[in-house]
Amino acid sequence: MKANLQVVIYIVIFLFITACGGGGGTSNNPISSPTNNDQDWNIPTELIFDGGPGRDGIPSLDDPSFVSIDAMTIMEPHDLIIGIKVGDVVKGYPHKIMDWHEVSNDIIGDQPYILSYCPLTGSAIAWELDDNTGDSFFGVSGLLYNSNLIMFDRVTGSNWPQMLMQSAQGSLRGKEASNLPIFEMNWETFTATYPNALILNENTGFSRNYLDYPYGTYITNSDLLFEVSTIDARLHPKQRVLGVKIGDSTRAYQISKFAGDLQVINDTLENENIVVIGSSNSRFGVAYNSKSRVDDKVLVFTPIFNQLPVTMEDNEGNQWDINGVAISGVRVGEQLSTLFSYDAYWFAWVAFFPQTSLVN
Amino acid sequence: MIKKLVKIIVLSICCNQVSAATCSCAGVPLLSSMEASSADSGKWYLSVTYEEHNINDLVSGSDDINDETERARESRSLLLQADYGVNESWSITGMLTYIDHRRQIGISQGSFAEAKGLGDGLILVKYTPQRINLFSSWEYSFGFGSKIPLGDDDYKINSVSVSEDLQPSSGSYSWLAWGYVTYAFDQAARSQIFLSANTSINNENGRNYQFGNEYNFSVGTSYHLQNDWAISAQVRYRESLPDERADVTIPNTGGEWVDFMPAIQYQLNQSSGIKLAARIPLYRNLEGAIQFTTSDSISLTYSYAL
Repeated sequence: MKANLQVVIYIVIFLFITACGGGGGTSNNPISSPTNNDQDWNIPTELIFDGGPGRDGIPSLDDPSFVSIDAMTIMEPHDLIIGIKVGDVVKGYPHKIMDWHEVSNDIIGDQPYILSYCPLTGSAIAWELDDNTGDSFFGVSGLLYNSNLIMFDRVTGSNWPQMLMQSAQGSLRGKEASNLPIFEMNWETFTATYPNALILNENTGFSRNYLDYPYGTYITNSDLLFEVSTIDARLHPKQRVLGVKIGDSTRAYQISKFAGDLQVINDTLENENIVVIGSSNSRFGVAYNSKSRVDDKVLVFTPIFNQLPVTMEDNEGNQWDINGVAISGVRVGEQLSTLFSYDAYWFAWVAFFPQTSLVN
Repeated sequence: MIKKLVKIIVLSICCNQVSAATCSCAGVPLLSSMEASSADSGKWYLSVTYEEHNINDLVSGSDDINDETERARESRSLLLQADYGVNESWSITGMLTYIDHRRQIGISQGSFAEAKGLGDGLILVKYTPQRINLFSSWEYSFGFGSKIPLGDDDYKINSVSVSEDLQPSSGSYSWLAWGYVTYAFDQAARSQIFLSANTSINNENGRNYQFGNEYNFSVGTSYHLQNDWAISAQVRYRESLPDERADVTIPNTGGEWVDFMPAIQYQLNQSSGIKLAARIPLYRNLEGAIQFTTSDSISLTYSYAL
């Protein structure tokens, strides 16, 4: 009997040890370990959380499909959509779909880019692929910093906190991404502004109910799911702001406090002249450097109402659209310089940039 | 004859042991395979269980949906249990666990994550005022105890703490209550039915995370076949409240489950046996828009009575 007992115990222990032995150890292996030899983070690791899904557990869209506006059936007039215009092509990425995927690897013409949206921080940013990012698709790491999406590039496995717009860990640590101009607005305004736009549709290859918001009441309540570095009670945590960062100076513009139709603000930050364009009714806010990149002249803008995508006229009589492109006048075709700027929930912007000033 | 009857009763009781406690190791209903024996006075009852728990079903509400990410999430557990009968009515159960959590996203290279180590422990005091014997067809048993966070609840990979469901230990104490009633249809107790209910009231851990309280109800039957074999089957209803972090409800956690749990046991000799058990989901209605949940689990137990 004793021998019998021992045999069974040995078998069970053997099974467990052998079962636990394989599988690659205890590390979250980088995609390409020879180039990813720096595992240190340049951000506080106590504010990095594993959200649970795991790397690629939230699947990025690597071959997104688009349809015309008329073919979209899931959108309501107040729903938010992220727009990007490259050349004459406009694409729209509904929050309803990006809530479930967060990253879309895409291209317009010869401009490859990564469009990302973090549903927990409400931040949408498009990065162009350049020497810093490498020619790589990006994915969702499953990690969060200050509650914000951390992406990873599929070539080196380096991790990139979205709102920092730079790599925080891996062989590309410290590399900065360059953003492309995008805008977020409600569906009603978007469809009226760009009726020929292509819209990311729900045929993503993944079985998700895009009519269902995956985070319950998070979008409107005051709760945070993960700890952040700073809490600032000046606004409701989920209030959407347009954040702008130049050097060490940061400023937030409360989108719901813009004039209903349209508001243009000629502002300065860190001794730079900027122009902020926003509408509380259409729920958008964008910002550009108001110094011409052609002749360094500082332009002063006034709003043009009810002519979206045209939004403003400068002191030389040129008219500009929401993407910061001159569409008439002597500067036609000129593009205003983009800034480190994007829309986000207030709590997230202030967590990343606690010294921010607030315009409301 | 008496010996044979005792053997049959022991076998039957061992086979239809129901889920003892609902507490979980980092979100996985770890102790569902616990042997809920009530040891006789002065006797020891020891068991070791190896369990594989697969958590790969993607569910929206009560609807199964495809998981094109090809996620493979499993938890492997080794449970060591000891029961001691203080007297005819009172017994004590203690348990240690070793956990190996694994997560792999099939469509992703380099996504493998593994966290393993000592898990939660458990101690349960049981009161059994009535046992099945030659003169009674009924057995009642009640237990109260605590889950004890013995293991690591801040396991890190790549300098980052893994998510709560991957931690070897829940990191918090829980209060447990358990009750069990069985009825034997014949004097030899070859055929029985049983009911059980248990609950786990969980607390917040050091990372401000609290797994949702759990409530379990089971009904089942067992039958002793010829030649030392016994089989059992039960249906279990389980409800779990959503998890919370810093008092904020975590979306896509909690829900209701109905599982079918068959088992077969072979009595090696008068004092030891082995049991193979499985858990198969019948129905679930889960909170939130989407959740990964149990696809199946299987366990192998060796038990030994001293």
